[in-house]
Amino acid sequence: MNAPPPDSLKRRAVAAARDAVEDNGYVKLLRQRWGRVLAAALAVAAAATGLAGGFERVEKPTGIAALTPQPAGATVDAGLYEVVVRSAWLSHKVSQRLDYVDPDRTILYVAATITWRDRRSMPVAGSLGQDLVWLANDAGAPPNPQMATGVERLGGAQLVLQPGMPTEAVLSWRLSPQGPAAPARMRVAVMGYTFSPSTWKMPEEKWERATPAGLWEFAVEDRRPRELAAREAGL
Amino acid sequence: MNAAAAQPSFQRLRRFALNAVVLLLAAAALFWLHRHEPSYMERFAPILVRGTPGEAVQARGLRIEIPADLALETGRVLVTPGITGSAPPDEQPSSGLWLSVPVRIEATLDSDRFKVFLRDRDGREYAPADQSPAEPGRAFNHGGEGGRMFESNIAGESLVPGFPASGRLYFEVPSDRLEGLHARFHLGVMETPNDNLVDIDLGIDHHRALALQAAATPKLRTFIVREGVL
Repeated sequence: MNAPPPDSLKRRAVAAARDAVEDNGYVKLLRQRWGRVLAAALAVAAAATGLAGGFERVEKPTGIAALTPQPAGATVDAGLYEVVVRSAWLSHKVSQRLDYVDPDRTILYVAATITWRDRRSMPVAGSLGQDLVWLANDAGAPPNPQMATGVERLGGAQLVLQPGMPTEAVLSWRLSPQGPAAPARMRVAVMGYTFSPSTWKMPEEKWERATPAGLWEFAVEDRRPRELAAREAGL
Repeated sequence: MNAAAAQPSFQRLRRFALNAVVLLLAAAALFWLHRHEPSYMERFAPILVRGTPGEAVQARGLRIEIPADLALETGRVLVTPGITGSAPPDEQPSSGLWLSVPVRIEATLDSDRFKVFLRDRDGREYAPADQSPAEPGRAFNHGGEGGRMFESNIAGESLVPGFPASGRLYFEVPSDRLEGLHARFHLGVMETPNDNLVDIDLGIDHHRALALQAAATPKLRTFIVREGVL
C-alpha cells in the first residue's frame, strides 16, 4: 500500500488531532509507562465492579429470609407507606384492561392496598413496582427476590399514589416459561423507605437505603384453566 | 528597670487579650452566620404569585385563570376514555373524592408544558390525573352512545404563546381535605429555582367543602362525546 502524500487530507487530519491533544493531561499521563499501568489497572477495576453487579440500578435486597411471613390481609408499616397484600392469582391475561388471553404467558398478579404517607404524591408508578415491592419467591425456597414487572391501579389505569389515600393497586410479575412451575403458595416482600423515591429529598435531609420491612406468604389462585376454557368456548 | 520591663509585658498581655476577644467575637459571628444560613430549600424556593378564582393571574411566562363562572365538581369514580373507541371507559374508584377544577392557562413567553398540584392546609400535595393517551376526536361507540370523543383534562398539556388552553384538571383528594385547598401551577416539567409559582386559593370553606362532598356524582367523566363532529 502506498503511503499518503505529504500534504494529504489524512496526514493533515492526524497532525491536527495530535496538536489538539498535545497539552492534554491524560495524553501526557499515557505517554509514561506508569501512567499506562495505572490506566490499565483502573480499567480492570471498573470492569470487575460492573461484573460484580455494580451496573445494576437497584441491588437485590438482603434480609428477606429473616422476616416472619404474614398471611394475606396483614398490614405492613413500611415507613413512608403502608401496604396490605390482599390476594394473588396466576393468569394468562396480559393486561387487566384487555380480555386477551395468551397461553404462552403466565403472569402473577398481586392485589394490594397502598397508603402513601409522604407529603407529596408518588406519581411515578414504575418505581413503586421496581423498587418497593419484590417477589420473594415461592414458599419454602431460598429467597430470590425479583422486582415487579408492572404496577397499575386496580382496573388497569395508571397508578398515582396520593398522600393519605388508600389506593387499590395491582402488581404483576411475568413468570419465565423456562423457570420452575408456578407454585401454589408465594411470598412477597415490601421494602421500607424513610425517604420518598418520587420526590427525592435534598441531600441534607438524609437518605436511607431501603430494607425489607414485611413479608407475606399466601395461596395463589390459579385462574388459567378457567381463562383457557372461556377462550375455547369463544367467550 | 523593673517598671520599664513590666511595661512592655503588660502591653503584650493586653494586646493578647484584645486579640483573643476579637478572635472569639469573629468565631461567634461565623458560628451565628453559619447557623442562620438559608437552607437549600430556602435558597431555591419559588416566588409565590397569589390569586383567587375569577382573576387572571400573571406570572413569568404564564397566565392562569380559574374561571369563577364555572363550578368545581366532585365525583366518587373517575371515568376516562377506554383503550379503544368501542371498549368500555376506564373507571377509577377513589377512597376519597375526585375534584374537577376548571382552568384557562396560557404561556406568554415560550412554548412549554405546565405542572399543577393541589396543596392542602397541612402542606400535602396532590398530583392531577394524567390525560389519557386517546387522541382528541377519536371515535366513541359504547353503551348506545356514539360520536367523537374529546377529553376535557388538560393536565400536562403543551402550551404555545397565543393559544390559551381551556379545560379541567382532575385531582384525587381525601374527602376531609377539601377545605382550604390551593391550586399551584408552574411552567415546565420541573420547578425552576426561584421561578414563579402561581398559588390560587380555590375558596373552599367549611360549608362549601360539605356541599362539594354532598354533591359528589357517582361517576365523574373526563370526556364528552359529540355527534357529527369530524
